[in-house]
Amino acid sequence: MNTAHARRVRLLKCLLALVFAGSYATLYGTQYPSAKQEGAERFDEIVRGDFFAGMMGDDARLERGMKFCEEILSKNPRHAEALVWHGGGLLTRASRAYARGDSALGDGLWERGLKEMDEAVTLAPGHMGIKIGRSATIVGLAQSGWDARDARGRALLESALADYEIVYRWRRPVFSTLSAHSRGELLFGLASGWSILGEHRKARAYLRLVLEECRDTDYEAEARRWLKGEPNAVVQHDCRGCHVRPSR
Amino acid sequence: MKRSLLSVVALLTCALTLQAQTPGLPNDSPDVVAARQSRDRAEVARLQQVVGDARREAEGTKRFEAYLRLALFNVWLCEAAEAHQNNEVFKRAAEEGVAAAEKAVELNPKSSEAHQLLGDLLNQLIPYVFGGGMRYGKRSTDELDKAIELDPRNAEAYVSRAISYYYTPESFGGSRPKAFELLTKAAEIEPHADSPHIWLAMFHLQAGRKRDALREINLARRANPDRSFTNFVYSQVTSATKKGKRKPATGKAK
Repeated sequence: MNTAHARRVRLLKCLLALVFAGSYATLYGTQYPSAKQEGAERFDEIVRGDFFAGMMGDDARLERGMKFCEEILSKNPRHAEALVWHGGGLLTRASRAYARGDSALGDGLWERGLKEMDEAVTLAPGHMGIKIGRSATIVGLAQSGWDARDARGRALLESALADYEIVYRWRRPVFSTLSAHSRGELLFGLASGWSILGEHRKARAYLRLVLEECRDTDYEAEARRWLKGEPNAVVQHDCRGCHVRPSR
Repeated sequence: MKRSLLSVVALLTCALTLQAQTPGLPNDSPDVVAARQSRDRAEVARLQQVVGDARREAEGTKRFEAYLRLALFNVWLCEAAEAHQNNEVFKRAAEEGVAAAEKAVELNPKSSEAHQLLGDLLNQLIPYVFGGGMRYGKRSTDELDKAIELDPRNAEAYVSRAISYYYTPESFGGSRPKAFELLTKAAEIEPHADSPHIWLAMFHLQAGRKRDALREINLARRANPDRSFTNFVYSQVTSATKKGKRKPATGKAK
C-alpha cells in the first residue's frame, strides 16, 4: 500500500453499525411526523437495540431483530420500516459473509440489503426515519470505499444525499433544538458525500453551515480544519459519540 | 581447510537465513529482482508484462509459488499505478492480486506470506470499491493477523498490519501507537528493509514530527534510494521541513 492511496483510505471496518446506529437513532429523534400519528410504540424503538447489538457482533440479537421484521413483512411486505431495518440487517450479514471469504453469499446479501432499503424509501417517501437510515448507511459505505466509475454507486450516493437534504429542510425549523450530534452528523454526512462526488463547492458550503449550526462544538473545530485545508479534499469524518444502546 | 569449512558454514547460514526470511518466494531470483526494479521506477507497462508472464505460469502450473509470485507482482503493479494515479490499473491489479493470493492460501494455508499478501491486497482494494471497508476490512485484518501468527518474523505482515491499525478509527480497533509499535518491530526484524521506514516517515510527518520523519525517510533512502514511493515521501517531508523553516511552527510538534 502506498502514500497517496493510504491518505485516502479509511479502513472503516464496521462502518455500517456506526452510521446506522448513530444517525438513525439520534436524528430521527421523537418528532418525525408519522410517529405523532401512531399511538403504538415506535418501530425503531422496538428493534434498534437488537439490530445495533447485532451490527456490533451479537449474532443472536441480530437474528432476533431480523425474525421480528420478517414476521411483520410476512403479514405486510410493504411495511417500510421493517424493510429498512431488515435491509440493514442483510448488509450486516453480508459483511459477515465477506469476512469469512464467502464473496458469493456476501454479494447476494449485499444486493438484497440495498434493494430493501431502496424499496423502503420508495414505499414511504415522507418518512424521515427511513430516509435517514438509508442515507446514513449509503454515505457511510461510500466513505469506506468509492469507485468513481461505478454508476450505480454514484446514483445511490446522489439519492442518499438528496434525501439527507430533504431531512435537513424538514428539520430546519427546529434544527437548533436538536442535539449537537444530530446536527453535526447530518451536515458532515452531506459535506462528506458531496466531496466524494467531487462537488467540492457544495461540500464546503455544508462545512460553513457546520460553523453556524454547530457553534462551540467539536464539529465546528473539525469543520474549520477542513475549510483551512486542501479545497478539493474528500471530507472524511468519523461519527462522534455513536454507541450501541443496551437491550431494552 | 578450517577456513574453507568456516566459509561453507557461513554461506550456508546466510542461505538458510535468507530462506527463512522469504518462506515462499526467493527474493533474489532474477525475475523478482527485475520486477522490484520496475516497481521502484514505477514502470507500469513493464510490470503489466511481468504480471502477464506470472499469470500464464500460474495458470499453466497451478503451483503455490506461481500464485504467490502473481500476487506479489500485482502488489508492485498497484504501487507503480499509484505513482501515476492510474486508478483503473490499480483496481484491476488489486482484484487480480486478491484472486491469486486466495489461490495461494488455498494451496498452502500455512504460508504466512500468502496470508500477508491477501490481507495487503484486500486493503489495497478497499478504497476502490463502493463499501470496500465493510466488504473487505475485517477479512483483511484477519488475514494479516493470521500471517503474523504463522510467522512472527514476517516483517511485511507487521508493516501491512500497522497501516491497517493507523487508518482504522479507534472505536473499531484502530490504534496509532500500535501502528508505530509494529513498524518499529518490522524495522528491527529486517533492519535493511525500506518499507517500515517509509511508513514511519509518513506517520511522523502526519503527526507534525518533521525531524523524526526526515530521519526515517533518510533510512529508507539508504536502504533503497531508487524507489519512487520513497522519493515521493521524501519530497513531502523536505517540503514540509522547508515550510517549517520559513515560518515558525505554531502547532504542537511532538
